[in-house]
Amino acid sequence: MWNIHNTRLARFHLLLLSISLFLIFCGCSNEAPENQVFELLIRDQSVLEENQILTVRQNDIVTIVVKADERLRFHLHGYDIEEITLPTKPATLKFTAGATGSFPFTAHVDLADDDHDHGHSNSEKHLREEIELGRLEVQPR
Amino acid sequence: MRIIARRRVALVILGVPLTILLATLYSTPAYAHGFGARYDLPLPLWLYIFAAGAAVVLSFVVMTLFIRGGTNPYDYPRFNIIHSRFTKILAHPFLVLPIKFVSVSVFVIVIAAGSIGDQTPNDNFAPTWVWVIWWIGLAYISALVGNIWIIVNPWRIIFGWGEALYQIITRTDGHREHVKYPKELGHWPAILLFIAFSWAELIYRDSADPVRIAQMVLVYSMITWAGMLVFGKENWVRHGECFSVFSSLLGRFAPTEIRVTDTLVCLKCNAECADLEDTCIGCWDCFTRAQSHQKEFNIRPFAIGLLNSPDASTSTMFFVLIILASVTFDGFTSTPAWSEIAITLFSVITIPSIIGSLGLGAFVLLFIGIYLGFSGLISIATGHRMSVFNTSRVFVYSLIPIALAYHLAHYFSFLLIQGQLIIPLASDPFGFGWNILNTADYKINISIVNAKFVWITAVATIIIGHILAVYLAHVVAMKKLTQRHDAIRSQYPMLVLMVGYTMISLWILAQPIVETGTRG
Repeated sequence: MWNIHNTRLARFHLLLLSISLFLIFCGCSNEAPENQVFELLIRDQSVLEENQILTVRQNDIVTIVVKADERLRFHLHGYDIEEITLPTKPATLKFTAGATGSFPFTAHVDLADDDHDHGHSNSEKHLREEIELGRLEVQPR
Repeated sequence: MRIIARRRVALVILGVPLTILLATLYSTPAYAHGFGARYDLPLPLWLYIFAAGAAVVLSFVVMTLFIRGGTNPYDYPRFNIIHSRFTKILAHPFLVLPIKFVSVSVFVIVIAAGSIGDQTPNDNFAPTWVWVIWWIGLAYISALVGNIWIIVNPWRIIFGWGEALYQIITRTDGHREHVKYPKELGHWPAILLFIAFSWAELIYRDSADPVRIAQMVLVYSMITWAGMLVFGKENWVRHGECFSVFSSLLGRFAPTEIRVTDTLVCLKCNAECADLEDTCIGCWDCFTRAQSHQKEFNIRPFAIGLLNSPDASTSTMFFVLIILASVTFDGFTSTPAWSEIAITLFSVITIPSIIGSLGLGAFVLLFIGIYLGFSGLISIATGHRMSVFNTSRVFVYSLIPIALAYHLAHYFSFLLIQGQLIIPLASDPFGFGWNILNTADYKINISIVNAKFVWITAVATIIIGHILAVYLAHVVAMKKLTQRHDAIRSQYPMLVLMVGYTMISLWILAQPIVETGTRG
């Protein structure tokens, strides 16, 4: 049977629903994607502080040029892109940042085993030599 | 089986998991990379400030608009979806039989895959199922749909099948003597097991290793079945099986309930399920034994189940506080603040798992201490009409929406992204290169959810959880404190506590994720 308490409950749920709808319909951006180019210099298995967080917007076309003082396998997690960089031949990663989030990029030193599973194996040898260099932050538009 | 003989069997059963536990602790440690990558962006500052402000403002709005005379928590709108002859079939026991078979099959696969499958966490069914789909999904479903665990609990199902088989073999009616569950014991067995589980989830460095997961499941199975053997299945499920207690607490928030309208049915239930108003809500045992005209499957308002429960017992209160503490600690360990604390402590304590254990213990004690402190303030504000302990037991359920909201907000994107891993694993649970369901080649889509949507949903969830908590606390206050001015005064300390807790939740979400070695 409907009573005053049910009316209050109904008002209460209406208030909650209104808040939810207001927040969910917060505005969207129509800015055009941009080309973003980054150059990472890896020395002694680390990068400069200003390159530890790379920030782009969603759908930007991202180019990361990786130069290192030794042979490394550069891996961008999440997007799961990896390239080998040599002292004589930098690696270039080019992709569209379609997914938002904060994605670590790492370097693998041990390149003897080509069958290892990046970042997901329990091999002590492999994991000891995966170094987190920084993160790519893809912000929403 | 006589009680004494059952105790001996229980002791033997308990000896098995203890042996396994000792063996696992002594085994060569494996370096766990960490299971389940997280790619969340922290809440932007403007949204953090907006949410914090909204929580405070809306708290006063709720108190002003809705603070009225006491309401009967049992008088709420509900709709029985099995009232017609066509929908009655939804409550038929045979409908849940396939669900039970699936649940037990998955349970067996977890143990088998963990034991003999590929030991790479992402290539094995066990870690993704246990830590992503089951543990996170269970919380979501229990809170947002209903306490489904009472149906799919594999330990309960298997023990029930064992009991049925025993009846057939011994040609008895199934009536067995049990040790009467000591009322003083309350939920303490569940609390201890939940603390152990939280430690395994948050601290134990091998928690993502498939073989360790299989071993932990086996250990917990033995403990659970020993408890059921001694105290009876329903009594142990209600008091000792920690995931049943956990999902039962969250299920009070859910918009569904099962109800037995004729409590004569409960006379055969040894779990003493009827509450103080002589209604039976949430007891699956009674629900399955009741006739169709004696039971209801209701849709009801969210969170109303937190109001129509009897006051929490002392052990239940501690269980709720430990849930709150462990959920919050889980998020805190991913923040730069914890990273600094851990690095500082590492210079003194060189074992990360001890640092993590101390952190978890400190959080639990902090939550309990702060909550009891604020309960003391409420007691003082109301002129000691209720003691500190009674106050703390009365109001503890009202904190559940805040913890729940944070949990949902924290794991939303993780469940959507990492949870996709179950798709290829369903085709190849052991990592042997199978493709049973033709989904083995599925790749995780990391763009399935946009960060802005995640932020907005997280903030909305936390604000709603906060408002619900404030509302529940005021209804409880009006019910327990007959004087209106006492009820209003009691809400000021509670409001400060709730705003503080909500701020902590928002602050954690606004922090960048930092992977700190609190494991191993």
